[in-house]
Amino acid sequence: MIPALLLVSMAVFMIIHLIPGDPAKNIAGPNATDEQLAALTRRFGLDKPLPVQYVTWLGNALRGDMGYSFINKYPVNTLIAQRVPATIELAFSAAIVAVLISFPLGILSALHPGSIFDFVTTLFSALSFGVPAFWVGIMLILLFGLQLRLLPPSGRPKFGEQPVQHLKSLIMPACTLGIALAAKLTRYLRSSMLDVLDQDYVRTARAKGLRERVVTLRHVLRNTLIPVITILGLQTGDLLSGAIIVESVFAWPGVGRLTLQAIGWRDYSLLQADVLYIVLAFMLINLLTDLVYGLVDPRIRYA
Amino acid sequence: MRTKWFFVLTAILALGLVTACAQAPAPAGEVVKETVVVEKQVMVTPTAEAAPTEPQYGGTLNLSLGADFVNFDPFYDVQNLEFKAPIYEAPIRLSDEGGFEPWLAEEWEVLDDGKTIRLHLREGVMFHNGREMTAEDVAWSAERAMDQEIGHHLGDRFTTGAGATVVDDYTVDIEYTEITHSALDGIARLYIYPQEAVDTIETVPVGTGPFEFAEWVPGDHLTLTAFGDYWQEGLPYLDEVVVKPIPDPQARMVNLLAGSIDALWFVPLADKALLEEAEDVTVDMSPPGFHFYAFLMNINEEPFDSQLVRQALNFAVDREKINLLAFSGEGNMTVIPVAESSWIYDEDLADYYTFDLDKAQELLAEAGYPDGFETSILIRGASGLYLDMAQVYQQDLAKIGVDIEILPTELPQYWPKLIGSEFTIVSHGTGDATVDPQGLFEGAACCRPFRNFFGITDNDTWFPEYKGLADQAARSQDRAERKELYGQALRIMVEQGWTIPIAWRQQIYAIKDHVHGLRSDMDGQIWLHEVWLSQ
Repeated sequence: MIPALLLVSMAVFMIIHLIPGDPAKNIAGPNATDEQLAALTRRFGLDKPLPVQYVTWLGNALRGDMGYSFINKYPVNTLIAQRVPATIELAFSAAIVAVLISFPLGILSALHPGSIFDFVTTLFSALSFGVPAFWVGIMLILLFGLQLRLLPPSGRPKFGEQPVQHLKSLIMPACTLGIALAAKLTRYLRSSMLDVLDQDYVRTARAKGLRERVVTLRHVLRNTLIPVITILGLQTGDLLSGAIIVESVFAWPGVGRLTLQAIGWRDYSLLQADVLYIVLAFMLINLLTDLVYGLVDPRIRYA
Repeated sequence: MRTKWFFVLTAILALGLVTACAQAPAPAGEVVKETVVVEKQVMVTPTAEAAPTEPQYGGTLNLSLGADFVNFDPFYDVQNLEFKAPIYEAPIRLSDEGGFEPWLAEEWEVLDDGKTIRLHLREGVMFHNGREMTAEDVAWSAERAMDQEIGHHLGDRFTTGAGATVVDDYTVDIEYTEITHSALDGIARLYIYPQEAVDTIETVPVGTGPFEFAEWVPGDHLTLTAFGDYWQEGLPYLDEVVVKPIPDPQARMVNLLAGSIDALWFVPLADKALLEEAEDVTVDMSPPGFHFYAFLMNINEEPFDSQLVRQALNFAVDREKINLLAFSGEGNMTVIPVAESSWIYDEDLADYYTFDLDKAQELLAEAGYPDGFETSILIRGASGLYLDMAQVYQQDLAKIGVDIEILPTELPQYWPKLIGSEFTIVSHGTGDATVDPQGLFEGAACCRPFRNFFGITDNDTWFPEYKGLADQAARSQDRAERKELYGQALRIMVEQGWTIPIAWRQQIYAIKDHVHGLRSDMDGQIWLHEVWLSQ
């Protein structure tokens, strides 16, 4: 993992510096004098050769010091740490929403292929998959935020101060993200289950006289879970890296918007740390996914 | 059998959901609510009439500027630069009449040496950190503003600054190598903060304004509370101001309508009419005159080195169509970069270029391009008005044989290209941003001492005359003479045609009717010290 992170850090550093754009010119604006531009370039340490900049950055990063934001001198670690709870909260809430929607829909439509329920589920998946998240978000805001006034249209009040408002503010962004993820999971679950339902051991289980619920939950669903967990793991990783659009629509203070802001300002130090932490989160999620495989299928554990 | 029950239960659940969704817009309880709404509508008028006319104390103003703050140092115009006045204040401020008025300084005077502006400061002005503001602080701020090495945005407003001297605790001299007419513009933006706060000012703002910093949760909100020791007795009226970053314009609008914010800035033109229809919302905009949308040409690039080509491109602009298609019919179009309210406004020049493709074609032929040419236009940003304007323009240019490629450019790439004059035409927002016309003639519209995007040099035969007129007008103290000189310079600018003004760039904001006393000045600065809520 460490060599991979090192390689990633180098690649990220180089790619970020290759993107056209200059933080000094960006921040100084069109009326800046040459002296002002030079002063900002020096302040950001961008007057040094790229390899020197990388080695300096890496040395600091190994000590846990990811530097300061170019645009406000805020410690990068603090900026990211402030956003991480919101991101984790949103990602996992969305994953829970997705599981709650997709599992019943996927299982039932696989058990009754060709039925009206299956047709409606397929239609739901196709629509949810195709409709852009920002549209779903705006529609939810219009309905629940403006018309019914049931949920706050945006923001994230502190849980400690307003726990009910906090949870209410989570519902719409989690649903917006969760519905899109549910569409994917439902399709995967349905097709995986249909494959498994055709297997000999399922027929054998039924021939043994096992109840249908036991066949479905113990023999079919369990064997269906591996690809579904893979998808869920990858998608949760995606959610952690930033559901930028949903965060923008609901003014959710997550890592996605921070990343977008860092890209917009070419805030290299913030962007480097941001991307590196996202890669790390991906790796951890993948590791977690591998561990869950073992729980679901003991054969993997023993192998 | 059990599977059947499972299916039936799920079906019932699904049906329940569908039924709930179907009922959601008008459940029984909501019908009553609708009646209440009608009652409220009836109530609104008398309530509005009976609404308190005297300012009320207390309450929280929730507002959104769209983007989040990134840096609170008032010397850097990084983001949300319109929101400085609630926290920071300057010795003087822009008045509604287009001049200046005393603020932290009770009065100012130009000393006999002609190179010094003396500020007489108010006594008893406190910083949010509990210390009194003195002449030392103003002198320190002024010297910092003059320091080009820091790399902040005030530097270009103090290019002739020579230093600052404390005369006594409440008197300070700002010294210049030469006092220009835009010197006061610089002082009006010289936001004072205590020297001891310099290391943390970027994240923890400390000023003398009516509201003091309470909390900033990046990406979520900025909270300011009323400053108890504010120098204007009885102000501010509000207890608290909360600024929420809501990047999505539609979400921002819905938040206003739903009541989770009381005011929002940067309303897209396309949404202006929609918000105007809302019963409890007032839509307003900052006055024209400071900033404008324009197509700018790089006259170093062929064929824009030809005045005839530049004029042809001016005649090819259909402002009416651009207004309709890009500005949703809400644009305040202009041919010259001078507003009607300005004392150098010239009615004769205001219609110098009309939409005339035949004339444009004729000029192109005269310039040696009877079949037109190929070029490109750099767009500020990847979408929005700058792109929309260019797309409309592109269609008309095609009719005279000018094939123009549109290059949408995200901002981090855009600024270096603009500053480096790496464009032929650019769709840009520009302006003088000074009360005195001097800024227009020296700055955004042309050249020195600021950066010259347009590639204009002394080799351009008309330039020495233009510069001479602008310099002479800048030094003159006689307004009639200045008007005459600027008039001539403006004529050269219009005839040379390197800048094609399209429309005034005005800041649109929407506020709920229970918000009173809000002020947005010509520079777009938001003033909240007299804001009060009637509910």
